[in-house]
Amino acid sequence: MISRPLNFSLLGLTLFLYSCTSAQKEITIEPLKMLNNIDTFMDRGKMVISKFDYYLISNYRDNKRTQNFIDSFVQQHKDSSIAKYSHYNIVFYRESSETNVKNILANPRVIDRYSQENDWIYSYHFINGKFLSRWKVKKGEIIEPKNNIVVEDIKLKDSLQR
Amino acid sequence: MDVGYQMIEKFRLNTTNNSIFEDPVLNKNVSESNNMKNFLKRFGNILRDELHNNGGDINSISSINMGEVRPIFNGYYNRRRGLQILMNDTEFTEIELDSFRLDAFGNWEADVTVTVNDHFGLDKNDALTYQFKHPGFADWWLLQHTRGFVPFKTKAVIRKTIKGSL
Repeated sequence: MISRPLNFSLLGLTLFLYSCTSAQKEITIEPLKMLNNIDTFMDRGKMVISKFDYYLISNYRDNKRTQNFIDSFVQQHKDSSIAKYSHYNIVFYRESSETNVKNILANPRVIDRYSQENDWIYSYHFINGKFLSRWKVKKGEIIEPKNNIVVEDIKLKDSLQR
Repeated sequence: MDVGYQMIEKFRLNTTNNSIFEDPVLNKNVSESNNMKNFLKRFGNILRDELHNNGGDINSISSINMGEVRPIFNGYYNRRRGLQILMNDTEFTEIELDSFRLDAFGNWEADVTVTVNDHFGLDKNDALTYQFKHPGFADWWLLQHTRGFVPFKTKAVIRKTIKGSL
């Protein structure tokens, strides 16, 4: 009879300690400057400049508070010359045993071969200085905005099939 | 002859970096790979965002740059179909718009031709990463970097329809 309240007390204490410990681990964002790049090319006689900035998030948690934090981070840290870029993208990865500064410096391909599918969490897109979209990504899939994109084989027209 | 053996033969006889390998079976496997479909979905999302921003006017959209995102053929399907060993990480991909349709309800369809470009070479990073999985990787690197065998370019061409709504 007394074991049940004791168990509940222990569980409560554990949860309390966990929440205290968790609260201490604040989200931090650091730039991955080694991945940043600017790409230029001519499109129908017009120069198109695309810029990509990359960041790593430590202690990431999937909740509204974190999203608001990242939103305001983007507002504060987006490139000050944003208007000169046709496309400007800010990409966030969460830190993991694979996606971390040490691994990326040793082999930047970890981003393509692991992080894109496992640790890519947000992308912000701007066109000519104007905000275009924010993607929330999970396991390589864009989950927000809701994905209604369908990819299928081209249906040959009747005349071509005959 | 299997595509893999054809590529090995090409590697054995190739003399120039600009030589291109193409094969319909390779195209088919690339077309059916989920990694390819996911890559095109990401492209479709950017296209949708830009269409939304331009009121559905495809002509006012400049070329789309996917940044570091590119098709990478790894995982079970690609390993079974040989795409991981024959292509794996790719160099660059071009997506050309063949036709575009937008209806009165804001639903759009884009027919595209996708050309995936790769290089049948093994660099130091690849060799260091994969040498423990099979001794052939070290041999491959040695053939290319110390015995004068020249890697060629691999090209896979597929056609797809991407659908979405504004």
